[in-house]
Amino acid sequence: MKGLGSARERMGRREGERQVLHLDMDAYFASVEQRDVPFYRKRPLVVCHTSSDFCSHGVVATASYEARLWGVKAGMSVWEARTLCPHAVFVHADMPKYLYNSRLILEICSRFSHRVEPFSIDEVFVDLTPSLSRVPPGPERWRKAVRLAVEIKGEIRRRLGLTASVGVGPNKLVAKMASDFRKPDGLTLILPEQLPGILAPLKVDQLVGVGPRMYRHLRALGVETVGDLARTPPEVLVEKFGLVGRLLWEAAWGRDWGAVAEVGGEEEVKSFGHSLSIRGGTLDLGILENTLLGLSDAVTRRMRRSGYLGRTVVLRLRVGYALAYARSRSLEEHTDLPSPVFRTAVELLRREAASGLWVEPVTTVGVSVTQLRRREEGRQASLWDLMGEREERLTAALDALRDKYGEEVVTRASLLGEFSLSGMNPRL
Amino acid sequence: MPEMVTRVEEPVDVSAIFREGRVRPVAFRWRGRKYAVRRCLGSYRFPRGRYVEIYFSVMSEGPDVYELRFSTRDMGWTLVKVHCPG
Repeated sequence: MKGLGSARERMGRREGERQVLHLDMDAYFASVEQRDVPFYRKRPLVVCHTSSDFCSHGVVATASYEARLWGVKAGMSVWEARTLCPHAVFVHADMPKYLYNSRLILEICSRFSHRVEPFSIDEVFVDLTPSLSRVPPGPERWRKAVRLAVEIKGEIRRRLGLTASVGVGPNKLVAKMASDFRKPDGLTLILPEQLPGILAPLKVDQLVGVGPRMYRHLRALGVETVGDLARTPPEVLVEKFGLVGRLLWEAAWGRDWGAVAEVGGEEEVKSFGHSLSIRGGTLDLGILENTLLGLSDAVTRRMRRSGYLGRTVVLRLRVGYALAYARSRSLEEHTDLPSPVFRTAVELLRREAASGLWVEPVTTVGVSVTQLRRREEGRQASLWDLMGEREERLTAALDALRDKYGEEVVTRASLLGEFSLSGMNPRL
Repeated sequence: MPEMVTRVEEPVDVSAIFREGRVRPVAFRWRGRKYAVRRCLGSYRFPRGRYVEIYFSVMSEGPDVYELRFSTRDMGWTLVKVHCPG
C-alpha cells in the first residue's frame, strides 16, 4: 500500500474536490479512416494490424461501429472478423497517422488544462481542477466542468472531424467509467454524491480493472455487483488478491487517488521514458520482454539525442486497470546504451512476474531512466567501459544511420512482426 | 467484394501551393492523366530522421481517394495508395 498512501499524501485533497475528465475517442482508428475516405463512412470497416498485403491474417485493431454490429471486436483475428462480416472493408492500420491525430488531440486538451495525461493512443485524462480553481466548489464548479468538456468535444470535432465520448467525475476511475456510459459522442457527469447509487447496481465486470479472469474469481466469492464488492470486507479481498484486492475494494466505493500527470510541468529534464499499452493485456513474458527491448532502444535513443546519461532504470507496469506500479534499480554507472537498460528492466520484470501480483494481464509496460546527468559532465572510467566500448561504437553507427535515413532504417530482428512499437507513448 | 485499397507507390508530378509554411496540392499527373484536387480530406506529418514526410488524402472528380506523400528528402511527390469504392 506504499504507492497508494504516498499518492494520497501527494494529492492532499479530499475526494470530491477534483474535476477529472476522461476522453475516449470513438472507434478511433476506424473513425480516422472513415473521415479520410468518404465512401468508408456508414460501412463496416475493420482496421487491422497485419503484415499481409491483403489483410488476410493478423489481428483487428479497431472495428467501426457498423462492423461491431456484426460482432467484430478489437483483438480478434482478422480471419474471425472476415467470417463474421465478409462484406466489411479491411484496411491496414496507419499508426503514424493515428499518432499525429493523437498529438493534435493532446494539444487541444492542453489548452484547457496543464494537467493532461495520455492514457493510450485514443484516451486522455484531463484534470480540470486547476482551470476551475476560481469557481467555488459545488454545483457551479461541476457545471463549468461540463461546459469545458463540451468545448473540448466541439474543438476536436471542428478541427479533426472526430467524435469522442467524455466522462467527468471526481477522479480518474469515475471519469473513465462515466465515459463508457454513453457512446458514441456521449458526455456523462457523475457527481460524488451520485456514486453509491450509480456504482452499486452495476455488474462487477463493468468496474474498471475487473477483466474476465478477475470476474471469474469474484463470482466464485459470490460477488456479482459492484455493491457486493463494496460490502465485502477488504481484508477478505486482500487475503485473496493482495494489493489488487484492496484497490478493487476502493474502486467499488468510487475512490481513486491517482493524480493526472502534468504536461511539460518541469523545465528541467528529470527522466526519459516510453510506455506501450497492450490491448487486452498479456501474461506472456516473451512478448513483454520483447516490448522492453523496443522500449529500451527508444528511451536510450532519445537520451543520446538529448545528450543525457542516466543511472536508475524504472520499470512501470499496469496490471489490468486497477494496479499501476513501478520498480526501479540503479546501475553501477551512468549510461545511454540500450543493453544495460534492457537487462535491468528484464530482471525487474522477471521478479515481478514471480511475485504473484499479476492476477490480471499486464496492459501497459513502460521503461524510464532517471538520475540523469549531461553527457558532457563525463563519467568515471571503469573496467566495464572496455566491455561497453563495442556496443557504444555500434550504437553510434546505428544512430548515424537513423539520423540520415530515418528511425525505421534499422530494426532489431526480434522486433519485426505483427506488432510494431509505433504506438509507443513517449512520456510516462 | 473487390479490394478497395491499392498500394501504388509511384512518383507523380504535383502542382502545389507553398504558402506561410504550409503546402497544399492542387493537381497531379499519374500515368499520363491529370487529376485536379477538388477536396483535401486530411493530412498529417511524419518525421523521418532529419526529413519530414507529409501525407494528403485528396479527391478529384470521382469518388476515389488518393493518398499523396511529399518528402523533404528529395522534395518529391509519390502516389502512395488509391481507395476505390468496390
